[in-house]
Amino acid sequence: MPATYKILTCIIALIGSSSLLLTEGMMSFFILSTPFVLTGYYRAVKGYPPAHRFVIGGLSTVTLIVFFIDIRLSQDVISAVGHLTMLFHAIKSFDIKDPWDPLQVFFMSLIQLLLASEVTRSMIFGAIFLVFMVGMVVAMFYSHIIKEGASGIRRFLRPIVTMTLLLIFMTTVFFLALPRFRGSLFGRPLSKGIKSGFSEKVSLGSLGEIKLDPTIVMRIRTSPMKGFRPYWRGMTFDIYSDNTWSSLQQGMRSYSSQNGVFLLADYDTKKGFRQEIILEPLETDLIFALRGAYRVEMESKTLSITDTGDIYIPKKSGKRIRYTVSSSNTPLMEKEPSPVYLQLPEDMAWLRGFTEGILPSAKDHKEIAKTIETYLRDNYTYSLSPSTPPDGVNPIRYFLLDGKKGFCEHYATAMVLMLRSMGIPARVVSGYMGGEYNRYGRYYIVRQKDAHTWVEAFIDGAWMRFDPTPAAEFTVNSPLFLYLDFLRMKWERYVVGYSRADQLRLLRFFERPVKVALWRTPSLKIESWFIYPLLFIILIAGIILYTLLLRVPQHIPEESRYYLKVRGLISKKHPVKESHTVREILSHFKTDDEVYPYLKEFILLYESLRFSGTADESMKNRYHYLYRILKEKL
Amino acid sequence: MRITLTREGRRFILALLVVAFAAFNTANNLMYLILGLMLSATILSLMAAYVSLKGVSVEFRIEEPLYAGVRTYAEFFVRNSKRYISSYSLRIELKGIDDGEIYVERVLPDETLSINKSIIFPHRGIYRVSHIRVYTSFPFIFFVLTKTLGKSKDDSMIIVYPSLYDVTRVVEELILEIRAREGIRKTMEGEEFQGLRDYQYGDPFRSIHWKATARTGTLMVKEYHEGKTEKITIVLDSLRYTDRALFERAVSFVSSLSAELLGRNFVLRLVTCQKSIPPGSGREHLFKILDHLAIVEESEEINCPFTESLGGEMVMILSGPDSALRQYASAASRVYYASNL
Repeated sequence: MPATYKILTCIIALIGSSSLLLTEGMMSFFILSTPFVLTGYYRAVKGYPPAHRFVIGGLSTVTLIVFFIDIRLSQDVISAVGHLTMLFHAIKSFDIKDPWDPLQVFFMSLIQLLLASEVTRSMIFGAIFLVFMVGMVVAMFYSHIIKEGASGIRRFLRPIVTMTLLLIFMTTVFFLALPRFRGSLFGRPLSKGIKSGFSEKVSLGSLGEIKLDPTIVMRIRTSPMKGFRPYWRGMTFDIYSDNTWSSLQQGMRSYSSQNGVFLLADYDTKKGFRQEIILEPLETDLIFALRGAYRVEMESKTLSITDTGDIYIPKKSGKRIRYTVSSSNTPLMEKEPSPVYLQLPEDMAWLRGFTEGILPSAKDHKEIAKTIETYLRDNYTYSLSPSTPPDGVNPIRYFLLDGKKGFCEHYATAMVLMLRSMGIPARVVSGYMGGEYNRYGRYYIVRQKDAHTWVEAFIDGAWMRFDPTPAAEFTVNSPLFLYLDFLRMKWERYVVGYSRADQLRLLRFFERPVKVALWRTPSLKIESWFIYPLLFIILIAGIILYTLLLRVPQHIPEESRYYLKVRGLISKKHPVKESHTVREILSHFKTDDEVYPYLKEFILLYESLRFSGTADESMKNRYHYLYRILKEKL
Repeated sequence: MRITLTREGRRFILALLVVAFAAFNTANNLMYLILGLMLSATILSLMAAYVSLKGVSVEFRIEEPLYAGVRTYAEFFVRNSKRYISSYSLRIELKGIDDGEIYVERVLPDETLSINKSIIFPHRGIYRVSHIRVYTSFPFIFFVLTKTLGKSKDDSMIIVYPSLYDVTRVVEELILEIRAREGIRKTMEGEEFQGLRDYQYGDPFRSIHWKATARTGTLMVKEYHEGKTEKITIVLDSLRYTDRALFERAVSFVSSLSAELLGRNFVLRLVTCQKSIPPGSGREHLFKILDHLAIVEESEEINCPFTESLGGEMVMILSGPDSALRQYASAASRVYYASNL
C-alpha cells in the first residue's frame, strides 16, 4: 500500500471526526482520539507492523463498553455514536494492514458526516463536505488503482479532476431535484433553542441578562429603512402586577394556510414592507415582524394571531423557521380598547401626581405621551446594571424617584403606568429593535442584545408606538464579519432552508422561457400540464441528436482523420490549399531532413491504408507511430 | 454490456438506501447533500465505466506453433476509437485461456496499444477462445462493467501441441539398432521408381501419377523401391492407461520422437488406436502428426487398422507390459513402455 494512500486515509479520518466538532460535547473526544490517530498512521506510513490482533480486539471491546455507558449516561444516541466513531478511527489507525482497511475508514467518516448533518446546520459543514467529497474521489480512485495493481495515480489525474467536478455538479443537481417531504417520523430537534425571554409572564429586569448576549436571533431580508429604526414586534403585555407583566391574549384568531399563504387583512401590497425572515430556534412559539402584518407566507398549516397583533405558530420549533411577512408598519387601528389597558397596581396611586407634575402644559393625549417619552429619555440614565431597590420598595417607584437608572423594561413599564395613571390606555410590547444592516446581503442581523420593550398607547383610535428608552450605543462589525455573515445567510437560505417551495420556484424559472414562447403564440393553446412531458421530450431529443452528431465524424475513415490532422499541422508552416495533392505537400519538406523521411513514409502508408485494401495491423500501428512523431516535429 | 455489483458496491448501495430513508424522513437538507453525493457517485461510477468501455475493440495474435508448457507471447491490440475521451483501467480476458488476461491502465483517444503478454499453455489440446471479455471497475470499485467482444470461428481455435523434449540419444540408439539389424548403410541419395499401383488411404498426393490416373479412371500412385528411403512407423498405444500422466508422457515422447526423426529426413508414419497418419516427411508432415497428437485421447478399442502391412521399421510405445497391443510387439524394431519413459 503506498504511503500517500495511508496519508489520505488519515486525512479522511480526521475530516470525518472534525465534522463532529461542529456539535456540542465532541471536542474532548476529538482531543483524546486525534493524537492516537496521528500516531497510528505515522506508524503505518513508516512501515511498522499493525498492532497485535488481541490488542485491537481488547480495545474494541472496551470501546463498545464505553459506548453503552455513554448512551446510558448522556441519553443521546447520536453523540454516543459520534464518540464511538472517533474511537474507531483511533483503533483502526493501528490496524491498517490490507488495502480494504482504508475503505472501512472512509465508510466510518461518511457515518460521521451523516451524524454531523443531523446535529448541525453550520456553514463549516459545507466546507467539510466539499473537502470530504474531493478526498473521497481521490481515495476511491486510489482503492481502484490498488485493486487493479496499476502503476500509480499520475495517469489518472485528469479523470480525478473531471470526476470531482462532475461529482460536485451532479450532487448540486440531485440536491436541488430530490423531492422534499414535510414532517418526519424520527429525528430530533436541532437544538434546545435560544433563551428568548418571551413568555406569558415576564418579570421586570429579566431582559437585562439577554441584552448582553450577541447571539444572532434572526436575519431579515428587506429594503433598508431609512429615517427610522425597525421594531420587530413580538409579544404584547397588558397586566402589570407584582412587578411582573403578563398577557391576557384576548381574542386569539386562527388562520389556515392557502398554498402556504396566510391572508390576515386586505392591504395594498405595493405599499407594504416585505420581510423575509430566518428565525433561529427560540424557546417560544412567537414569530416576529414589523407591526401591521397582513400577509404571511410560511410552511405551516395554521397560524394564530391575537387581537394585539402577536403572531403564533402552532408549536415551538426546534429548527430554524423561514417565513415572509408583509406589513403595513402603520399604527394599528382598533375600536375602543379593553379597560384592562388602564389597569394599575394598587400601590401605584401616587403615580398620577408624579405624572401631572411633569405635564404642566400638555393638552391632549398625544402631547401627554410625547412629553412623558421625552421626560424619561432626558432625565434617566440607561444602564444594564441598575441598583437594586431596597426590600419592599416598588422597583418602578425606585426607578422614577431614586435610582433613575434602568434599561428598556424599566422605561417602558414606567411610561405605560404613567400613561394609564393619566387615563390613556397603554401596553408594553416586547420584541427586537433595529439590528445591524448588512449591506452585502441587504438584510438585518438581529441579535439577542437587540431585544427590546417599548410602549403602545391608544391615542386617536389607534395604537401608537412610543419608545422612552434613550438610544444606546451600538457596535459596528467589520466588513469581513458582515461578508461572512452574508455567506452564512446564503447557506442558511439556499442550502439549509431549501424547501419544496423553492423547488417549485426553480421549476417555474426553467419553464418560464417555454411558457412565454408558447403563450405568445395565439394559435397555440397549450395547457400547463403539457410543459413537463414537452420538456422531457426535448431532453430525450437533445440526447439523441447529440449522440447522432457525435457519431457523424466517425464516418470519416480513421486513416483519413490522421492524414487531415497532419495536413492541418502542415498548414501552420506552409500554405496548404484544398487542391494540393499529397505529393505537392510533401515537396514542401524536401529540404527538411527532420520531417521529410517520416512524412514520406506516413504518406505512403496513408495511400496504402486508404486505397490498397490490403492493410494489416502492423501497418496501422506504424501509421499511428508516424503520426505521433510528426505531431511532435511539426 | 453487463453490470455486476462488487462487494463494496453492495455496501455502498445499502448505505445509500439508509441515507435516502433518513433524508426523506427528516427532510434535513444536509442529509440531502450527502444523499446527492452518494447518488452522484453511483451514477458517475456507472457512466465512467460505460464511457471507458465504449469504442474499445481488441484483437490478439498468438505466435504458432504452440507447445504445452512452453512460454509463448500473445500480442494484444487494444483500440480506443473514441475521438476525445481516453479509456481507463481495462481488463482484457481471453475466455478459454486461463492465463490470457491483461490490464491496460489507459488508452488515449484514437490510439491502438500493442501489448505483449507471455502465456503458458499447461496442456496440449485445443483451446477455444469463445470471446474476449473487456471489463472495468473504473473509477471507483462499486461496479464491474463487462463488454463481450465476439470472435470469428476461424480464429477461435488454438491448437497446442504436446510438449517436446530432447530425444537425440534415444533416436541415435534407435537408428543404430535398425541399421545394425538390416546391415545396410543407407544414404538419402534419391528414390528409384518401381511401378504403379492403386491409390491407398494415406498415400501422399504428390505420389499420384496423374497421367495413369487419367488413363485408367482410378487414382494411381507411383511406387518406389524400398530401401531407398528410411520408413519408420510409430505405433502409439492409446488404449486406456492406468494413469493419465503415463499417457501424457507417452504422447509427449511420440511427439519428440517424431520431431527428431523427421528432422533427420525419415519418412514417418504414425498409428494410434484412433487414427493412422500416412507416411510422410518434412516439417509439414510433422505438424500433421502433431495435430493428431495434440488431440489424441485414450480410447477403449482399436479403431485403426494398424495391423495392415505397416512396411519399414516399427517402433511401439506401449502403456506397459500388460498392454493389449503387446501381441504385435514381436513385429516392432523397438518397444518403449510409457512407465519407463
